[in-house]
Amino acid sequence: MKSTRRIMGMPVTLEVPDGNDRAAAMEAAFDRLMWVDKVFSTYKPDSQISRLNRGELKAGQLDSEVRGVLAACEKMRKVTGGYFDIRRTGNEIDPSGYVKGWAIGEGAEILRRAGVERYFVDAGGDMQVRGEWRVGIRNPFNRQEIVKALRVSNVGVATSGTYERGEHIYDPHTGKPATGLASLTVVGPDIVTADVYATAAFAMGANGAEWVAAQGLECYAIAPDGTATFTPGLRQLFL
Amino acid sequence: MKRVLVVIAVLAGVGGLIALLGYHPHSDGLSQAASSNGGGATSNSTDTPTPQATPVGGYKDGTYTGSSVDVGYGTVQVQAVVAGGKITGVNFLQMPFDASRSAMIANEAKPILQQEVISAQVANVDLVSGATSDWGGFVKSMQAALDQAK
Repeated sequence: MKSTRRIMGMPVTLEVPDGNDRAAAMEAAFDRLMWVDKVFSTYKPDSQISRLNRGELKAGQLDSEVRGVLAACEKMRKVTGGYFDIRRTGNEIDPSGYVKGWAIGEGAEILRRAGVERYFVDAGGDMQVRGEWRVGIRNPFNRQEIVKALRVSNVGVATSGTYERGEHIYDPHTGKPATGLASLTVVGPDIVTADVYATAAFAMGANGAEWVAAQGLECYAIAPDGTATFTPGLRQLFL
Repeated sequence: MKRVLVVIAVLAGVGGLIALLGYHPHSDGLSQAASSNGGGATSNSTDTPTPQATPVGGYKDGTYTGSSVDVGYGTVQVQAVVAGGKITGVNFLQMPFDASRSAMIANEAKPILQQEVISAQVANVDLVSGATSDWGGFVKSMQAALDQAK
């Protein structure tokens, strides 16, 4: 069975094999994702992040899970050479770029612990899958098309780009929108890693694919001229 | 770029071997070199030292050829050139060339990326990865699908 809900302002789709136990696990996974949205959303005025940004909460008053996420964001900032950075102007933070992947991972973890043998958790085009699935890479120049089809098992797949929401990923080192790539897809062991590395590599632009490869992950980067650069390991996954 | 990296990587690997191999000057007067020799076999050595009276940097000028050594992925034999008492050059007389090994070394040095021009695929897939879809876009595509079903 497959179900889509609106969470974090985006379509979140879960698919699990049919069965009552699995349906219950799917509901629990959706609940967890909604909890993450409630606590971390920068769009919800009463979320812990919004209250922290308004100075109504101090770091010490945050839930331990929120503190854990913020600590992980700081670790990722260092790991990516500053290309992944949740700090915004003033003292504000926007951990959305981490939280999305983390939420997917949390939902997937609930399914895994419930013993669901095969599933995917997809939030707005980023996903964690268990079992074998066929994943397409969307054409950044025509969203009706895919430009690649991959056969993947037990991985996280994340794509960064600016084309859909009209939002920009900024290069934290220049403060300007990253324009070197049209999109960059990372296949990694888990969605949190894939998502963070996709975001950081996209901000790096033309050098992003090389950097992802050097981290031991697979990627498919599409330049504004329609040329794709990809890791040899990714070729093994081509359908 | 790739070729250069392969060569550098191989040289770096062999660099450590030079110390391992030492080189085998036959002159008994060179205690420093002899100690590095460690009494190892010199059966393959074909030293051709040119006569030199004053070793400045501790080694007697000349060209010294090391033994052939199996390094696991082939045989390496190096030759050291000493001038003014110092090693001024190293010649690689035998170098293994194993494509897979070289590729592996090159991979360690720098990932080799591949390129292609993107083109639309018609394959059936279970899900699609793309830059964040918003809810509005999802509803719109659902509506389009429902309209087609009318």
